Amino acid sequence: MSSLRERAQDARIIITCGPGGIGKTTSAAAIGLSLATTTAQRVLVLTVDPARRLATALNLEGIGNEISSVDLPDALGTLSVAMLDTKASWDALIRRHADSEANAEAILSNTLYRNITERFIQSHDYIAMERLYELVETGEFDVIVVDTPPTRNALDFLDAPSRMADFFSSRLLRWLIAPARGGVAALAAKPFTMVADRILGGAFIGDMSEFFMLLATMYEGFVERARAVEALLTLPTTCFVVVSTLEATPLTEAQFFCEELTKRHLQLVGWLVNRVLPLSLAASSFELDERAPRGITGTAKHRRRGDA
Amino acid sequence: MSGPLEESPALQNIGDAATRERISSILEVNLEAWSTVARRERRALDQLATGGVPITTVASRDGLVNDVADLVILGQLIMDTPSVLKSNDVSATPS
Repeated sequence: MSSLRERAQDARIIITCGPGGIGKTTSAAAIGLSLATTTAQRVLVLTVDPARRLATALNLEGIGNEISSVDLPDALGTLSVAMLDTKASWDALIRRHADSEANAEAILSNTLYRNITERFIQSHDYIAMERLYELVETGEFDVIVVDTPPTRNALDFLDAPSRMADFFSSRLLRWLIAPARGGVAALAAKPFTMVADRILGGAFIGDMSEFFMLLATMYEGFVERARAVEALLTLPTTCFVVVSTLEATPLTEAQFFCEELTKRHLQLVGWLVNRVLPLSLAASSFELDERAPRGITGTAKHRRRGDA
Repeated sequence: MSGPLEESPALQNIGDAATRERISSILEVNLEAWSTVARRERRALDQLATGGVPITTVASRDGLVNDVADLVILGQLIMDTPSVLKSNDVSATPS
């Protein structure tokens, strides 16, 4: 059978997905490092997991939103790493799409905006995909290895661009911005805003309305971008690797994710099963594959045969 | 007692004959235990393989990967180990 390197040889984006706590971030870093050391490619590992141990292993003081280079003296290529900082990435996105500096500043200082970008996990999902797209567009990297959130959030991660585009086209957004627009729209939305006022408070509704009004000025840029990010996932050069162990719970989660990738017609290039004993140990009487390394297990076969 | 396990290249330079024999007997017991676990894992892999997606297996565990050199080795195993798809394919053993 072929190796992962062969199956992913044309990949420009390699996305590792799977349950939490099974070595996904380490695997993503190892894949990136392997590509950087053995091929003349500029490789970036983009992680959502602020794993301190990974930074230490790569001789970095820390991994942040800014891209850091890993010192690899004998490598054929280069390796860089970055961790996603949701807030910083959202701010950059707003500045890019806002139609004026004043609107950008108004959004950035809006209370609701700060709450959404700092607290909502789904905002994290979208911005991760957005950052990926931005990095691909720069052309600075030949391969980007993405370490995704644990499986149960990873589906949100994949669906985030589509949800963002849908939201901007939705009726809900029209209701949300109605109070700020005034006129007939505000009148039509009055029953909604009256109920919302009672539940959430006038100040909140005001903030929310202003926020979505400003956001709506970026409609075209956002939708276009979200659709482009979504399309990026379906390219033949975007490959998915599902990482798991053989323990029941993570395996079930990973299998579910595998099915979801297939349903979405995304390119799954393989399973990476971690923490597995060498398969040669499972063979009866310790029979070994000819290519297996010689050593203690190899002599065990003779010992058992000798005993028989 | 002098068995083939004690003659393993991995043991040849360790201590005296008595030490090697002791290590050898410990390893023998452990090999049986590992073999049982490995067979169970193999059955799970077989089950997984029915989905038709190539599987790469690695033995990385917590605490084994601590620096760039460790990551390079792990990366090579992940990228270059032949995948396994069915029970009688033992090629997933790193070569």
